[in-house]
Amino acid sequence: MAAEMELVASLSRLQFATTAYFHFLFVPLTLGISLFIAILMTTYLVTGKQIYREMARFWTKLFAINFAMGVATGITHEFEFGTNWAVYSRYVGDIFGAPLAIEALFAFFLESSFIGMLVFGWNRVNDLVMTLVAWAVAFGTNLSALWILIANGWMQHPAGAILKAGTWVGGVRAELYSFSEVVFSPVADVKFMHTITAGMIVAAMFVLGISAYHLLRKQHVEFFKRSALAAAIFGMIASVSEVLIGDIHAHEVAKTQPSKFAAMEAVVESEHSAPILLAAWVTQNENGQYEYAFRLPLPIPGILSFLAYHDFKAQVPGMNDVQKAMEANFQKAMQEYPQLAEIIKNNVMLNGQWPSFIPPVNIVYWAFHIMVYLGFLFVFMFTAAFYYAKKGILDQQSWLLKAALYAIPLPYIASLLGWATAEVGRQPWVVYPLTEVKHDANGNILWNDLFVQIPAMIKEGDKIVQTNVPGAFMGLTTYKAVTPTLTVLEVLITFLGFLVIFTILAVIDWWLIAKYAKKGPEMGAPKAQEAY
Amino acid sequence: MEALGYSPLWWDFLVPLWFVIVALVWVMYILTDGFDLGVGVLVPFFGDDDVSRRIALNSVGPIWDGNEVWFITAGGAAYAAFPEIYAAIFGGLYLALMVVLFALIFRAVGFEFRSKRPSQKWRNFWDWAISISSGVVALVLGVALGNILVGLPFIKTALFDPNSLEGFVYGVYENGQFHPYPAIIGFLQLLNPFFPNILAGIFKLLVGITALLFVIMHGATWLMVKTIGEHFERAKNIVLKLWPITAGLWVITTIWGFLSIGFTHTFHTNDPKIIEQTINIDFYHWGAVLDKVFTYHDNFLFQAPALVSIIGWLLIGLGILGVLGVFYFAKNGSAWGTFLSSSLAIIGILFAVATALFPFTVPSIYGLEHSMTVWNTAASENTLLVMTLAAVVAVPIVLAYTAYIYKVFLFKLSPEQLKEAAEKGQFNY
Repeated sequence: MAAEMELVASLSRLQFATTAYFHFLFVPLTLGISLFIAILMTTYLVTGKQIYREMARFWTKLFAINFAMGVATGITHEFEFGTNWAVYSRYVGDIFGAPLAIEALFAFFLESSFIGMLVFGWNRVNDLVMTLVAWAVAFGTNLSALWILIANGWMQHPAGAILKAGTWVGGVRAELYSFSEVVFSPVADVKFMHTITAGMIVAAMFVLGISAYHLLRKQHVEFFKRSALAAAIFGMIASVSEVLIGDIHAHEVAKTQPSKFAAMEAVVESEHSAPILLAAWVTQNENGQYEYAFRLPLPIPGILSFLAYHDFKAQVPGMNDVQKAMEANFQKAMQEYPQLAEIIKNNVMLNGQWPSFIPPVNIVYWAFHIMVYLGFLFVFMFTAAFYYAKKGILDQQSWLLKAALYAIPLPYIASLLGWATAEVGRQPWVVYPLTEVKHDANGNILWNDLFVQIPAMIKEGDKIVQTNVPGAFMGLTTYKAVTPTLTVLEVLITFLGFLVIFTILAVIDWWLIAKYAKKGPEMGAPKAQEAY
Repeated sequence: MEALGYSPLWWDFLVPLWFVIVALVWVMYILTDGFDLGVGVLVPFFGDDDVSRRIALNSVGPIWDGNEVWFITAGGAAYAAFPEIYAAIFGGLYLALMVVLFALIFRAVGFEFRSKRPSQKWRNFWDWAISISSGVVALVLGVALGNILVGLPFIKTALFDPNSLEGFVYGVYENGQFHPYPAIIGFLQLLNPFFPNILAGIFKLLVGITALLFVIMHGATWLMVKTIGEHFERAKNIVLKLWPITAGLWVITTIWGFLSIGFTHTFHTNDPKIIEQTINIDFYHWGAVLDKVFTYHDNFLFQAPALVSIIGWLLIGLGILGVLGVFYFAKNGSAWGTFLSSSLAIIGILFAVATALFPFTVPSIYGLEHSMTVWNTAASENTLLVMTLAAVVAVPIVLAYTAYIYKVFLFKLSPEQLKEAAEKGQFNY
């Protein structure tokens, strides 16, 4: 039974990862290109040059084909929390449900209602309205990302919750305590910035690459030279910002999720003045201790300490210490609050043992590092494209045009690797226990005090009192979060169903996008049958 | 309530308010995406020529996407306001919900892919994909409603060792063992006319078929609104053909549901193992109803607060008026009259169902003490307050821009209009 449950949990994770990954093959372009189209329409209104309107129309057509798959792949998520992660949903649904509902009400309605108008409204309403519609879609998609990332950020750092144990009519669950702490969580907000900027990079490379395709063939040269310049500016701003935002994001992770950070940077033993590793591979010995198979440090000490904690001397947590400290902190919490011990037994322990608190290190390390290296490549490419486009000689740089065309998939890959870092790095948790890494004056980590205090209503004797308990009680591991009555067969059927159907539909979708992208803009009226 | 101790009084008002709001969001979904689904089913039947089918597609082309968001909102609102129900139902109806999701996926890409290639084979394939997937969504959601009315097979049981920590959880009792969470009901069981017994089984399937027919008819009334001439006549004939059987089935299911003595007691059990595991919850909020066997006409018979009964009868009246109106206006060729009557019927019928259910949300076939009520599944006072504020701000804005977009696309479709639109550089499916 227990083994079957683990298999169900693993399959459910695979299914969620599959649907999430397919969703995020379409979402980042939506995020970025909706903004790009809105900017084009505004430029058209301001300058009055017809070509910007034609550009907006052309990119809208590709956007619409992309959007259909974004909706189709996204609709499953809202329900998968309930279908596959019922225990998770009942434990934290009081908090997690609200951002999802608010996302639908404030953002998803806006983008989905106006996308129809953005596609079908041309020449039916005037261009000022169309510009406003384009902004509504751009605003809606990005606002949608904000609420989703608030929900996701809360799983990483569950601040703003109160634990109600044995006092609520339904038993034990986390409830909303401070909505503003949930919404203005620094973890969530930096995640949002990171994600929408990634969307802009995806869109910029998409536009630049398709423009390059036509420029290489010397067709619609004026149209695509302008598109390429706009994309280069857009992409350069986004990619430079992304380096800075990424740095802030990593700093937040180092503070709140030591196990993820140790895996991201492959830190095996805790270290003061830690260097950054340009490449590494980590293995486990027979005692379960992590050790390097090889590592290639950048020969400047303290860079990692500085990036993580803004202090060249600070101790960076290593995975062997994190495992030990987590176990000790959980033990301590259970001893301090024996009446709540059962929550940890129920939510964290696997067959009476502590699970490994360290995610699959090599996956997380390489996903993170390849993403970072790609990020620097994007800065270079957009800067070069901007330099030549500004001079008006981009169409003669066939090496750069070819590179841009073949680079279209790279920002997508970087986005997916980023999500792998965030979500594989979160394992084994689905809700990370509320943690904050603190240092003393000498830069040593305070290992005995990893968890942040959270408010709780608990029973003391016959009375219900409000008190503060360690954030340990908020933690829920993935294997304990799955719907316990699902069978392997059911999840296998749906997982394979999603995999096969999404693959087929994604291929058709991209094939249609490629077909319409290659066809180029139709100046003037389209033919009746090919109308759309 | 003793067990809560700390809940403020206004929580007691927010909980039933959110029952109404969640019901409202579901009604909005059936009302708006309902006609998209109906039109979707009708696409391959609306004519063998490409132009007729394109007229059907374009009647919902610019708006179906926004309408579908009501479904997402309904899921989100249920999650936020009643997390216990969300977890138990969506986990419990796993395969059924997955079938709905797959169907919605096919419909979404079907609309987008269909006219992207001139090939007649390609278009025909997607027309049928849209039709079947739309029908599946309506049917499965209808059968799911039927199953909920009949009751799902779950019990309430202790979550933790009751000596150290209190708390119950909904779960299933199978082969002498309790499994916490949730009421798993397989897709085949969902459609099984013999589960939980033959009468309840046929009833729940009838609810599904009635829902499907209603949705197709609703789609046809929207086609009346959006077309002229030959296509208008086609849509009108579809409405008139569907009406007798739809209305007839509706009357049968309504009376059947109304008069049956509490399906929820079908399996009322004396099994000591189940009773032992039951934690008694104080149902003081609706005490009067619970003293006796619960039936779906209780709330209409002044055993509930009088206001609830009066509203209940008004809703049934609206339903009857709407159903009759569909026939009357269709016969007279009034497109708007037919569509609005159909909408009125949906509002009246679905809210009447919600009234009949209250204060239960999802009954258990094992009896009332195991059933989910609004009180023991609702979110906390903070969440409900935040959600109430969000809804008060957002819903009027959503309705305002939705109305604007509908207005922009409210012109009549015809072969001439499609041709003219293409010449003007307007996009269409």
